[in-house]
Amino acid sequence: MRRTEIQKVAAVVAAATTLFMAANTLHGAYAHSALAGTGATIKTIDKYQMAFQLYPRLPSAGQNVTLHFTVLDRNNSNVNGVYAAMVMKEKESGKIEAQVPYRFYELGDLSMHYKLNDNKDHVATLFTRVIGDPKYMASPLTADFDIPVGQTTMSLGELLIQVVPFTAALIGGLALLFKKKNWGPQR
Amino acid sequence: MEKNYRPAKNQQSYVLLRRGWTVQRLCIISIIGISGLGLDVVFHTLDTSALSIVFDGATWNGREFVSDNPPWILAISWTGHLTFLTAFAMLIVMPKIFFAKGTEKIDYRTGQRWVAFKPGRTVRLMWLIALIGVIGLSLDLAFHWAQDGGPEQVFLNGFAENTFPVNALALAAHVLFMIAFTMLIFLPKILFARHTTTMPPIAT
Repeated sequence: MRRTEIQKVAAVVAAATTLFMAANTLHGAYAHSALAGTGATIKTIDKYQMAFQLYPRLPSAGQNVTLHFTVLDRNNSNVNGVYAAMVMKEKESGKIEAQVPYRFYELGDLSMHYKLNDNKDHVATLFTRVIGDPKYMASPLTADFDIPVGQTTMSLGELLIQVVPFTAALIGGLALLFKKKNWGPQR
Repeated sequence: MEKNYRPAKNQQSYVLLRRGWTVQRLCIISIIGISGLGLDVVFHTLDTSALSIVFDGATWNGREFVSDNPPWILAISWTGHLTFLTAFAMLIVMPKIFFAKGTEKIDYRTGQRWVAFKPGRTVRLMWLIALIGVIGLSLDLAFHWAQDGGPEQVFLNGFAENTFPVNALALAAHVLFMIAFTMLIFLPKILFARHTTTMPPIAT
């Protein structure tokens, strides 16, 4: 009887887990078109959505990063044919660190690479001229995206130097507790 | 709960479980907790990486851990997570390490069960494990308070950046985990009706 109860609980929990996993699979299927849930920063300007994703998500100084931009129209479809340029600034001082000149992209799905020189927050400004849209061909769609550059970095070795003694003390303390016989009066 | 005396070295210590409880039923709490932990691993993997189950608040970028948090907040994060995971591991193995096998006796007048502790195991030791859990949970609360601005983030962790399925997953994981954890913290009160060094005569 007891075993049956445990089996029932296990079955309910397994079913719940399967349900959540299925929900997440669906989530993955529609995520690209809607951009929601992708972790992208989305800016809506007029009838366009501009999304930005950074790889790695939290970079540190000296690291090469990939800036991925997506320009979608009101139907959540990639815009066909854009000219895009990018300006990288230091967030606090506003100092321009780099400029990527206008280039033609067949789809509004573009990636740029940049090497971060210091651990300071940056801002990437994307300028997009949309072919076929007179308004945004004349003056570009402009969107700023924050790039947080890691303030605290720790190598695996540095972290292990702290974590290993702590874990050893925790497990050692527990082992001592269990080794000690007759742990005081019963209460 | 009836108080008792320090058992002599050759005496086994008996506990009367509350009505409806058995040693095996402790496994149900473990299953709830393990499910919560499993869902939490899935959530953290979808959100950032599985490493966040311990190093929450920091992200592994392939070369090093990077975080927007200062080092002291990160220290609270990993010490808290390791402490409550340790307490939780103790909950999972508790039936095995605390109770002597084959000692369970049913009192048919009340339907309650008597069971013997293994030598050296006591209710006080069980409270100490609960205390480790309380310390771990307090550190986790402090971490989320410091990082996200509120202790409710223990439950709502990651809500701002994700959409429905991931949020539901996170909430389910944290609720299941907290249920198991709350039961761990109050386990001696929940589980035991009485302690004694010798098992009284019972109607079997």
